[in-house]
Amino acid sequence: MDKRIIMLVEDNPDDVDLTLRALKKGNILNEIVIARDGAEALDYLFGAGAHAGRDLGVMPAVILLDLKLPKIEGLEVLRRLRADARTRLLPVVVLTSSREEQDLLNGYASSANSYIRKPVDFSRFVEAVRQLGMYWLLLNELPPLQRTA
Amino acid sequence: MNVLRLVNILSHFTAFAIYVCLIVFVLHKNPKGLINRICALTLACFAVWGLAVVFFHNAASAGEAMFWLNMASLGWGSFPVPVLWFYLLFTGHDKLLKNRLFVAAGVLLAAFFVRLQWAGCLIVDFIRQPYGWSTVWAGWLPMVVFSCYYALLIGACIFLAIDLERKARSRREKSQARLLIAGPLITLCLGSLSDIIFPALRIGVIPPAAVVFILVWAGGLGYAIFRYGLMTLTPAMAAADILETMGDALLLAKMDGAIVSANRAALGLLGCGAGELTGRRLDSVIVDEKSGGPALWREMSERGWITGRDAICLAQNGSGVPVSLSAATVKDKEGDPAGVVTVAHDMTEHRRLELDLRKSERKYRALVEHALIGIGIHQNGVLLFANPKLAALLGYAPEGVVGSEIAGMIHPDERDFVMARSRRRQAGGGEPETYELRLLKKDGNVVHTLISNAVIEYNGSPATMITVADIGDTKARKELELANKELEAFSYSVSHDLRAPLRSIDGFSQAFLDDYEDRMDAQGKEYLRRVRAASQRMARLIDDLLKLSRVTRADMSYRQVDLSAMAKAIAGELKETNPERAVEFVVAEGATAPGDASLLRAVLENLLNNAWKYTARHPRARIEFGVVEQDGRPAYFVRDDGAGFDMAYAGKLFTPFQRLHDSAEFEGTGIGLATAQRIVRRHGGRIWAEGEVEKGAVFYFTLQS
Repeated sequence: MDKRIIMLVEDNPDDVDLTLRALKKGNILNEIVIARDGAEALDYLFGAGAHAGRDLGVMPAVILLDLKLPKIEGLEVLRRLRADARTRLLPVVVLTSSREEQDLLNGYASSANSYIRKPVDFSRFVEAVRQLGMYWLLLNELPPLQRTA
Repeated sequence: MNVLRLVNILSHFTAFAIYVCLIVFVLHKNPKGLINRICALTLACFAVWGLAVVFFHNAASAGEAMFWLNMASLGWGSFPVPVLWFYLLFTGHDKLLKNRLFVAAGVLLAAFFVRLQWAGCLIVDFIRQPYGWSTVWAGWLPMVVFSCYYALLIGACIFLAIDLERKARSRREKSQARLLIAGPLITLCLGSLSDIIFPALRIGVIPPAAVVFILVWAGGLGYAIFRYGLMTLTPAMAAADILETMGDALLLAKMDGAIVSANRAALGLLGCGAGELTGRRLDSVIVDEKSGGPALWREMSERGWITGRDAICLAQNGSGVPVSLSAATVKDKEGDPAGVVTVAHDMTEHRRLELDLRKSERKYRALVEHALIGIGIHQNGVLLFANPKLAALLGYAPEGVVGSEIAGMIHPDERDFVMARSRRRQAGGGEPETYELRLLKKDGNVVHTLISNAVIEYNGSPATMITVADIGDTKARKELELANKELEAFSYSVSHDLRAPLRSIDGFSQAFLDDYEDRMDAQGKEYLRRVRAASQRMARLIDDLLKLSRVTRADMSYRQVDLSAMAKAIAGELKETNPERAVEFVVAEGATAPGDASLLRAVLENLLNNAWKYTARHPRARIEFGVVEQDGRPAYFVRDDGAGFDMAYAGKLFTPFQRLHDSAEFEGTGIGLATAQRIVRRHGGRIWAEGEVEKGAVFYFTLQS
């Protein structure tokens, strides 16, 4: 097992459980870091707050980012990641609930690498997450920062 | 033969000769004129009468005298009738003479009195007198009857002449009328005395010489004809009449400026009586408007004429009347200046109208200049006029916008469509006059407006007058925008938060099924399957509800949309979903309509999807898209021969989540038709349906009412 970790930024515990389950069902067994809100996600990624002193050489291979988050919301998290040289190239997959959110995202289309809509039908969600994991963890080349790290 | 008799006979003969001359004169003037002929007829009566009386007085016996008097009665018995006719004609009552009954009655009346004489009922005897014969009437009664006859008719003539005199406008007409009053009046008095009253009183001193007295009358007629051109119309006469009666003031003056004559309008304008102006100087009654002095007369005498000059007429009461003055010197036969002719046109009314017009112009100019809406006129695609508000609305300086192309001011999405509509409107097509339109400001920014168009005439050709209201910053619009924002936030929240628990229900049900499959019986699994189906259905409902609200809020971009092509494309997509179904699509060609392409596509999708869905249970189906005319406007329709519906529930079709079939029979959330209805309404049209159970349904919609 390599060091490729997946970061899940999600405040709804049900969604966390279901996503973890979907990943497991899709045979994605990488380490998963969970952040419950935007602030926590940023703390982890920039080594601040509770994560002060964390080895910033270890960055997630992919971030699954929910949009509606407590404290700092998803789009703001995305904006800050893109504003910082260390995280500018991190692959971010936005999890959306509706077309409304996709519309919102259009303004940021270039900054998110991809998005998936969380379907109510769980089996379709499992399939979507599986394909996503395959792509980002297996096919996609990692950004240069990770490779030199 | 004594002298008295000779004088008597000669005077009657002279009268006869004069009458004959007058007949020739009158007929010579205009042999075809009815009035000339009637006049000649009258004179002929007098001539016969005069000649017969010559022989009457010369008669040797009473029997001979009776014969000549009977001859004379052809004249004296009948003359009042043609005389009346003549007066009627002269006073403009010629219509009466076209009535045959009236003419016949006159002839009969004249014949009746001639016959009375011949029958020996009027004058029956004669007395020898030194001058010839005096007459003896049969009695009082016949005499009175005869007197009444001619007195009444001649009285009528006098009355007609008095009436004419009263109504006459020119001095010439008045003089004529007076001659026609005096003549018969004098004759009536003298003739009655000599021929009726004296004989009745058996006074034989004066011979019956009425026909000689009538000479006065006839002479008057002759004078009128000679002096005033009675019964003829000459250019000189017409000119005199025109000059006298024309509306403009006419003044004639000698070279030294002394006024010689003035027409009626001049007297009226200056408030003078007839003759009061004569001798006064022109430059004392008409002065230059600007200087108030005789400047214009100096110019006139130097140049010989002036025309259309603003001047003031100084009226008798001291007031000044504005006039437009023209004057010129007239020359005599030798070419020397003989006098000045001056024509003044009263400008009072004209000035008042001009002032009113200027006031009105100022009022409307102020109205347009200060209007809170933009007002402009464009012609041939170019803006020719714009009020300050329109210029400001388009981001130009007040004068900078005039001359700009209209097309460049319209949002590109709507440009071709609006320009085509504008051209059709000018050509007289019944195009909508008021609609919302996005305009481009000078700096390229979009401004939302409500525009109203009216075709007017401008500089002689059709143009369009526009009034433009900026509705982008109206209070209502701001409120609507705010409400929309809130609704968006709400929708976002609903979509996110309402779906999350559904995901949990579905997800954990699935997890439960996966992980505890071996510990559950079939019933338990069925229950969980239903939980999952219900949560997924609810998710669909939420999605559709959001779709519906999006339709209401989406920005609309108008252009000409090819509905036929759209219907064909959707039909193709539907066929691909179920290639095995035997459905025949019939799409009418050339159905285009102005509207928002993506919204109209949603309408057609919903209607065609419906048709597709509700024909699914039939082995063969036919779905048709076409256009019919409804109240003079196109109504587009989608017809199918599927399950149809009961018309009793037609009202429920377009209510969100109302379904006429249960979901087991035909699946759906009941939101499609409600969505279609909202879109159609946003286009200003309406949607309705006709159907019958198992016979199919037709959905009609119109755009822009």
